[in-house]
Amino acid sequence: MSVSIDLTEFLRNPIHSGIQRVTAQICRNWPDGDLRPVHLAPQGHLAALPDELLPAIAHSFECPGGSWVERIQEIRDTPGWPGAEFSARDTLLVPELFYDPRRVAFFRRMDRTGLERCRFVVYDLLPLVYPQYFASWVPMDIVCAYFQMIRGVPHCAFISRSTQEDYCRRLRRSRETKGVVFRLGSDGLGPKPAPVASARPLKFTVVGRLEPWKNPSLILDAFEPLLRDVAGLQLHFLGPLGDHIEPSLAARLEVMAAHHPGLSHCPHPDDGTMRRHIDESRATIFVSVAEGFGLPPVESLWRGTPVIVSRGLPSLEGYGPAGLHVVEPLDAANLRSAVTAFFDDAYWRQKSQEAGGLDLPTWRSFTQELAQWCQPR
Amino acid sequence: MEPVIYGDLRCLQDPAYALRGIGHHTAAVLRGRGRSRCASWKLVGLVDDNLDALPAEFAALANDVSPSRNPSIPRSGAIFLDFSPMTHDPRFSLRFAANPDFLKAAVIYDFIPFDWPGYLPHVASRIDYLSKIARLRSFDLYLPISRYSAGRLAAILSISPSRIAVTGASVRSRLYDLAQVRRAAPPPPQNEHPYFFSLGGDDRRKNTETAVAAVRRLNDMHSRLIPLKVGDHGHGYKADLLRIAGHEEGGGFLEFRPGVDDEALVDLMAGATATICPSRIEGFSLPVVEAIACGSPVAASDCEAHSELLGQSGALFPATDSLALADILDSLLQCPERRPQLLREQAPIAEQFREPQVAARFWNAIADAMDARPGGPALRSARKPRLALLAPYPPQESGVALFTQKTVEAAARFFDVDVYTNAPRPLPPGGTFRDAGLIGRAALLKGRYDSIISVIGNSPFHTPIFELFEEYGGPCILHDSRLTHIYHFRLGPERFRDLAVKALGRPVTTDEIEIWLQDRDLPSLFVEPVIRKATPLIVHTRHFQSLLRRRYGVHAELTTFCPNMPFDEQEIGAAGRRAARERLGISPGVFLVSTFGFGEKGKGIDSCVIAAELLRAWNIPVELHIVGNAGRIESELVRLTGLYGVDDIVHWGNTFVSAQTYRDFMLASDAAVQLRSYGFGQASAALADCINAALPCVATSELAEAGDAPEFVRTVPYPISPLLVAEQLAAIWEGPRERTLWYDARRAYLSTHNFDFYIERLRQILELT
Repeated sequence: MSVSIDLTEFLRNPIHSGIQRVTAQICRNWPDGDLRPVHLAPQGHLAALPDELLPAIAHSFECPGGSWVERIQEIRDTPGWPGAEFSARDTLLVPELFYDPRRVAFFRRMDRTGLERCRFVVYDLLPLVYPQYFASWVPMDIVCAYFQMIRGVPHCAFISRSTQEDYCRRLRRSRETKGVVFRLGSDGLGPKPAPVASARPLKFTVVGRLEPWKNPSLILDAFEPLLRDVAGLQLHFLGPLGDHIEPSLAARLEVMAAHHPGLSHCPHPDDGTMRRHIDESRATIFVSVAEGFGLPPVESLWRGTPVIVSRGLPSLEGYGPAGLHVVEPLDAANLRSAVTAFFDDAYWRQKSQEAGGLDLPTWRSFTQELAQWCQPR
Repeated sequence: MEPVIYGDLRCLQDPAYALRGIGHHTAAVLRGRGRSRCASWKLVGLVDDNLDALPAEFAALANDVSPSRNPSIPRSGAIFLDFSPMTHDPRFSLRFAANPDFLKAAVIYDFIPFDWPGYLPHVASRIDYLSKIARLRSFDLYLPISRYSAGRLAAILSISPSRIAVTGASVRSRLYDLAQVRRAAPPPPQNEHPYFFSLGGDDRRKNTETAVAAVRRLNDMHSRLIPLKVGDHGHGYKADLLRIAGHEEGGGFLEFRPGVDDEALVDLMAGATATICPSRIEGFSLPVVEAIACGSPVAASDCEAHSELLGQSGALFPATDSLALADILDSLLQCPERRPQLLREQAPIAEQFREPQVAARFWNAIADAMDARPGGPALRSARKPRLALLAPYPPQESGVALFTQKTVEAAARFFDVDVYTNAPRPLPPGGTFRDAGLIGRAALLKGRYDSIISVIGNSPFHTPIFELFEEYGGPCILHDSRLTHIYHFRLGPERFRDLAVKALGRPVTTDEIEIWLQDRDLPSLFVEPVIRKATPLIVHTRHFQSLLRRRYGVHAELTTFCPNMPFDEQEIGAAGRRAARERLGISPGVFLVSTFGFGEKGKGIDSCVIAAELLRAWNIPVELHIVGNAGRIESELVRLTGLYGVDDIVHWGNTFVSAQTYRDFMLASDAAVQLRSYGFGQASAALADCINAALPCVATSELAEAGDAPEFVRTVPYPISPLLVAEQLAAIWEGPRERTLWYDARRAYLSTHNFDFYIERLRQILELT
């Protein structure tokens, strides 16, 4: 009995963000080292990759920019890896989202026995549920082919109850609840720091890719007068401009940054930079209206930094208000009020203490649950 | 309501005329309108986009400036003024010249090219000039600048004197002002350094030779230097004049003063013993009046225009008689009293040709002629307005053709309608209209229409309409909110790219254009040329109206979009629907979903197909029919239905769907899906038909909003998600499906979305009520 992990997308694009980050955490935290890497070879079959790939992935995350990425690419580009073999008790874990016709076709060709062996992780249905936030060029025929395939597979895990709901009630339009929910780890930026007593500067940080549904324009609207009027106020955006963002947002960000020294945008922060900004902030801001999970708030809470959030974020399901300031209704004025609330040291301190006291899942707990789920039944 | 004046201002755009006599006269007359009886009438300056832009100083003289020269004629009447009928392409004003409902007035300067040899050297130039003379017959009122020109007009074209009002030409006010200032200064002694002045010009007709010969004779007689100062002359003419003078340039009495400004001109004329105007022929002769206005007596040739101005024989001489001129000039030199005496005699002339006086004569003549129009607005309002529609028409397979047919049928109550179309004949019967022939200039030439409307859209059926509209403009019903495809089709890739570069003011790549042709990421609606020429621009949705205001700052008139396909409540009831399903062979248990209209990219057919797959997965017995010619996307449909495994439940055809089949699907369907992957406030004929049939529908939100859709049209956002489409269809499947539920909403919609309402709006917009 063994578990194989399909790393096709990770190998194609071994970056450190998004779903690749989840894949890498699985590779790092898999118990007992009993995980076999595979990928979909150009010839159309699953090829077994050498075991050394998994530590290479783990190291590439621990030491970014090192030679590990090159080694990963070497392994990827080496032709002739043998076909992966599966016994009846073996499992194939597919922890990636793929809008890739070749990969979709591979799983569609798979017979029922083969699919029974597969464990798919489903992240979100955002392009289907919130199309208005996506660019018009999204190839919906390809996106939907993935969802059509995933709709019919026997075993799915979801990263939030919200995604599970969308999958069951909307994509399958069924009353039956299918699959399991495993919450992503909160400790991706390192271990929990000791509580800090001294007051922080008036600094706020927005972590994550800038996409329309994450409301970057609203954040700028809220901060524009504050940056003008409040001495020492800082707002930092950490993350790239997303594929669906209007070009005008980039221009606005640039213009505002030129006028306000407290405003900055770092499109490609490493983990250390993110950690530093979060740890120095009075609060992070995450006012997204459409998420499959929404990792940055829980990573912030893990670090003991409160979060200004929109209501209903899947990653905060079941946590109550501890460490959070919910902006409701979500508009610029209310967001501005939330920010100014954190100017008050006492309020910030209270929220920080709440954040530090939360019991949040880790990548290890996530992976252990996943590994357990992958056991043959 | 007061009349509208359309003035052809090309002479003010054209540098060859704008700063010369014609341009000056036109501008002066326009400047004087504000104090005339026509001051409150609207003046629209007509311009030609192919000429230089109309300078702002001239544009300010009109209430509006437009390149459109196909206006509707308001019931209050309209006037066409041709300020320079003999100089520019007369096809520019076909609409006006041919239409008896305009009061057409032409300014007549002269017929010198006809009367004086050398101006029309080629057969082509003679034909062109004679055709322009012939065209003058179509005018109602003539405004010559002199009695002489009026006489020639009457003689050449047998025009009745009752249709002629002599206005004169005006001297620019600045010369009077400068002269006044100069007169206030102490007068220079005239006899200390006497000289003569002749403005001349490079045209040999100006006859400066006679002036030079006469002054040479004076110099010989008096054995002293008596200068003759002359204006600008070309190289050859100058050499000839120096030969006549008998000296080199700078070596004798003949002095050239090229490029003099107004100050210098006033000085030159006022200081001269006399100004000589020796022209062989003139239509008016501004230099005569200018000189007098500047305080210089004039000696002029005895051509008719000069005789008309100066009257007295003592200052006139035969144009070729330098001895006679020398005698006149000598008398001025010899007798100190002669100059002031002559000036006193001539001085009243200048007062008659100030700008306000000339403008008053001009506009009084126009106002009198309008007052005297037989019947006037009252007569016109007694008959139905005459309308020409340039449009696609059935049997052309186009939604706009069908829409036009319905428009024409409804228009019969209020209009006499002629349809110009390139549709194959015979045109289908119905309504009261006349098949006026193919699309072309005939509509403009026939001249009987109160309004000639171009119906413009984004398909090749509109190509001949574009050809005409781009030249003449006029009332325009714009069916499509973007014209990317028609311009790309008409202009070809290279010229389309040029158009895009001009519209966007930046370089454009072929790849970008490919994306635009899929209606994606359009940086422009490519309606700019149409907007510029449309008077008025008529659109069908408030959304598009707002978009045009936002993007282009233009006001478009709004009327509502109407369903093409009529249904009554009995027909769309349960029995009628059952019968339609039987005709189509649709099983009773099937959830029949249809999408109507031409199958093309941009109408979200892929989302419909994927939604059908989802519905089936949800155990809904769906069948999807694409009701319209899907030939253009057939290969894509084959691929998609194969990919999603729905080739058994998705149906389409690749020919134009008959009206009966279209109706049957409207009746038989349980739901319709009308999607657009582009917005821009575009109306949808199919969606309007669905609403008229009380057929529950799923539409993109902007399409529904643009079409004023009632509540039984469910909406999905753009970009389109097949899941959301499927969810809305499932809700229709799961809910009550009797169409009677929607009758009230349907009636409310139809109260403003019907062709009678549409025609009423057209009447208001075109001011033909």
